Amino acid sequence: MKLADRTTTKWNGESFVVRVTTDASRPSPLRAREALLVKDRAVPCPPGFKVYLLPDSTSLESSPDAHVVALPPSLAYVGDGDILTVRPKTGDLRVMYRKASRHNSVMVTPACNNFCVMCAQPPQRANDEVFRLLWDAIPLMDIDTQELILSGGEPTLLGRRLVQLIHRLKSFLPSTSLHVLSNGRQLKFLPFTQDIADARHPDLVFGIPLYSDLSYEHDFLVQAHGAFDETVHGILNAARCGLRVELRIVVTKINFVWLPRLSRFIARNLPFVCNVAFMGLEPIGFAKGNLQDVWIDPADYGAQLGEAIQELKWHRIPASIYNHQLCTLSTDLWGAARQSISDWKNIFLPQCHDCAVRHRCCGFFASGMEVHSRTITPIPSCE
Amino acid sequence: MAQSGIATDDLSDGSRVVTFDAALYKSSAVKKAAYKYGGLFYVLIAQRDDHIEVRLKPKEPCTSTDALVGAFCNEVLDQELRETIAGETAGIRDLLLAQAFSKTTLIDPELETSEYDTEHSADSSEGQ
Amino acid sequence: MPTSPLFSPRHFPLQNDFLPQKGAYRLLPFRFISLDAQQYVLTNFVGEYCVVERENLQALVAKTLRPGSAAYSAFKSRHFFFEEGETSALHLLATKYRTKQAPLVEFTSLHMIVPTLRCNTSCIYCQASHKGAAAASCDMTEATADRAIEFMFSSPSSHLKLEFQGGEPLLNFDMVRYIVEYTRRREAELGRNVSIVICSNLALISEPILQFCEKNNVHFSTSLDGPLDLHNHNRPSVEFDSYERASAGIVRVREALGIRAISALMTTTQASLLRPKEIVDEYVGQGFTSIFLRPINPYGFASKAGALTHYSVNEWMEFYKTALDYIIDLNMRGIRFREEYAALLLRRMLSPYGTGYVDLQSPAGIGISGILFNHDGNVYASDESRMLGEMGDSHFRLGNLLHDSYEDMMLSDVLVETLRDTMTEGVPGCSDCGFQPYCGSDPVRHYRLQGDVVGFKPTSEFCQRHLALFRHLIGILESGSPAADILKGWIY
Repeated sequence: MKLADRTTTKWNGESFVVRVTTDASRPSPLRAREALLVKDRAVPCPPGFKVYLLPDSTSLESSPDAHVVALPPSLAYVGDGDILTVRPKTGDLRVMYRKASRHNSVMVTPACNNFCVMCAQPPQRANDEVFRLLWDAIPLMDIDTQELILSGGEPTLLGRRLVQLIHRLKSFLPSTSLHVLSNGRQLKFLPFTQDIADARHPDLVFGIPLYSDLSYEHDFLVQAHGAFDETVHGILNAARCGLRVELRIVVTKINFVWLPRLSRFIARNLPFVCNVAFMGLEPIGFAKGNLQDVWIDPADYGAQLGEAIQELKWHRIPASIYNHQLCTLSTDLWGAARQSISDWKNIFLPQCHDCAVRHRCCGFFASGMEVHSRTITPIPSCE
Repeated sequence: MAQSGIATDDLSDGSRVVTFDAALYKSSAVKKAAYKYGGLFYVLIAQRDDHIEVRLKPKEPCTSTDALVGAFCNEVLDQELRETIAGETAGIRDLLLAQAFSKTTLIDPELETSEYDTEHSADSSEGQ
Repeated sequence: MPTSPLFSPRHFPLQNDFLPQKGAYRLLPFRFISLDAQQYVLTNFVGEYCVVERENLQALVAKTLRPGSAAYSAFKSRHFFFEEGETSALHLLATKYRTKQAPLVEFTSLHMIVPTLRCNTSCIYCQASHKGAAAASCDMTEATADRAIEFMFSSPSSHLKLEFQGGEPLLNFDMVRYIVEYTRRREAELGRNVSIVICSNLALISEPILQFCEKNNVHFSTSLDGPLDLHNHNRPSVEFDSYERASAGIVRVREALGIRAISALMTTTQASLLRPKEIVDEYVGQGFTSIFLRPINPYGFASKAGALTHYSVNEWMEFYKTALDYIIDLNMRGIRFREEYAALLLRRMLSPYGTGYVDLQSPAGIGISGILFNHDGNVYASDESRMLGEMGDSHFRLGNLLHDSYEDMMLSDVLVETLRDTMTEGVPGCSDCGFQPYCGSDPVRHYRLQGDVVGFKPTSEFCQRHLALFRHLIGILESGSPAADILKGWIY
């Protein structure tokens, strides 16, 4: 499933966001920020919508106030409540938010102060437009959205604007869980962490990667000297201010041997974390470029993963496994496995068709079609 | 373990005399080792010009006095090591204790008060 | 490590570029002690340990460790040193230390109260009872009880524990009832939280007593020394079969109050030493999921009975190791059962949390962790202090509820000076012992056995026993055997 594509329709205008609707008789005041998905071209289009989405744009003229946009077939799945980013100058269309999805993840800035060797979303220059579009989109999101993930880049690089963003999310989406994926380094500034905590968001978790118990090993993986020290300081500050922290550990060929001692370190030093997630590698971005150095078949690190999870169990620290297919894990670890892969990038392989536990399995990243364990086999029923 | 600067003498009452080169061993280390072996030996320590003399008399009749005296000498070395560690870490230990019980931080205090708005402008580079 | 084809070494520096320079670290406070002939146990500021050969200990201090080596990694991860500029290590250590000391802030939690010294059993190691003495001179009065409970509520602890001792408390159940009702009433008025336990041989358990306890959320602790003949040998009564009453009582309490409402402990006598497995089997058979293997205390009847009760540290350790091995074996066969003292020590070694345990902490637990109100209103710094008092030595009597105030007693010289002078952080032998973070001081025992509160550790059985215990447990943990995994499962 693609999230972004290009339309042939272009014009000179600022980028903006619109909420998709199929209802031609929307109340007029709402139409200025919405895109009408036109199904039946025979029916005249009601005025007032910011954008009209059609399979092709041959039959209707655009006007300065009502833009007719050809919706590429790859994005034809959009429906009521989804939010599109439209960049008229380039014709870029992006699905920023899907009402029906359980995994809405929004980038708040493309800039980052780490440079992880397995980064799935390599950093780019800071871009104020990204923030502005998200800011505008928030009031358009469905109030019953269960969870929203803020990622990047590195969200904390927004500084005070991150605090404002969290306040805004609390105002418009008061019952939506917020998961901020961050390296936590900027949280070393106590006033910053305190300001975030003072927003008193009802359900906020920081998801922070920690790749080793040793600074130089972690710093190597994130390619930044001093990163470990700042991240640990940030995690401690988060705890001091009452912010919840989940540790995220991507398992690679470089760090899989460190996992048991990392668990020991977490249990002794950071026992307050609300969860520790061991994550399978997504082979895109830098990970793809560095594949031979970072990819390891999960079947080859079962022992270390098992030891690491057992160590946390002994210390009553919750642990989960993300992005690992059930057939790559020993059955005693199945209880920790989660269906963690965002639905829009989730696939299964042909051999999964006959698997008795497919419904419980997280499947693969789209990139997993080419890069996956050699042990992918269907689990017969009654196991 | 090889010992330098030590000689032992056998005396008629079953006690041993061990001498430590005062240039190499601290008397405080010798005394601490003597304390630790005070259950097994009666201990007499004397400071001579260039050496420390330790007389060890087993409290109970003993067939393994050699081994015990050897262990005592090793203990003196261990005590020297402990004194080195204590000397090097006294300052940091006080800092840790103070930090543990302080309401405000004594370490990196500037991070608790500084302005944090670290917004990167549109032309900041990646990978810092 | 090979570089990847898409990115040059300039973009992804090799792992070695991140390794620290050799010798560029500062030591953090740590202690050490020999584990066996070759190895040493090193403990950091908060008791995280590392077992190494002496050459690595020396290299650590001399700063000749090779960065990236196994020893370097183990020491760094456990905060035996830190690299200049990595202040996160200092923040973590300070936080961990505060966490370990946190129970002290709770102050006195355990409050023992003696409603009567009368007893119906003559345990050979008994420390305090007067069997058959006239009730008036052995029973607590209501006036005394009131003051005792008010004293208890003066403690800031968020989890107060009231424990009835004796004598046999059920012989004066009227007073027990009075105290429980008074306590529950004041607990509600003050918004406090008190757990209440009766230490009893259960011989006099009855329906009315069980109903009262059920209604007022009162639990029980009893003694079970082993199978019938051993139990009755240690704890004879002329009035009944001790074992039979205890066993029947355990069943009745469980049925009336729930399986968690009763715990049992044992005391080891000479006769017990030969039967570790049978004692454990007795506990398993009676449905307990843990046992607390306790050596004898050198007070009261125990000291008079001498040969009947005394044994050496080595004899005790043989007994303990056999029992512990057997318990571990049961666990490997799927029976959930643990030894409580080992669990406490393991928690100290392996978890970041503090463990307040009256008889093994520094500063000592006397007064500030546990305290005892005797039937006559005398307040003692601990149960052992009371036993000394019954033997004629009132050194650790803090005062009397009817004459002295809370401040008088809790700030008394004997208490404050003893606490200060016996802290293991400061006394010879203990201050640099590798096991100091796990151990504690027992001033009353050392006063009794060696003549002063600090004691002389090289000849202290308390010290020798704990050295043996720590070495034994660390030996198992380091063995990498399944037994190590069993022990780790006991941390929480």
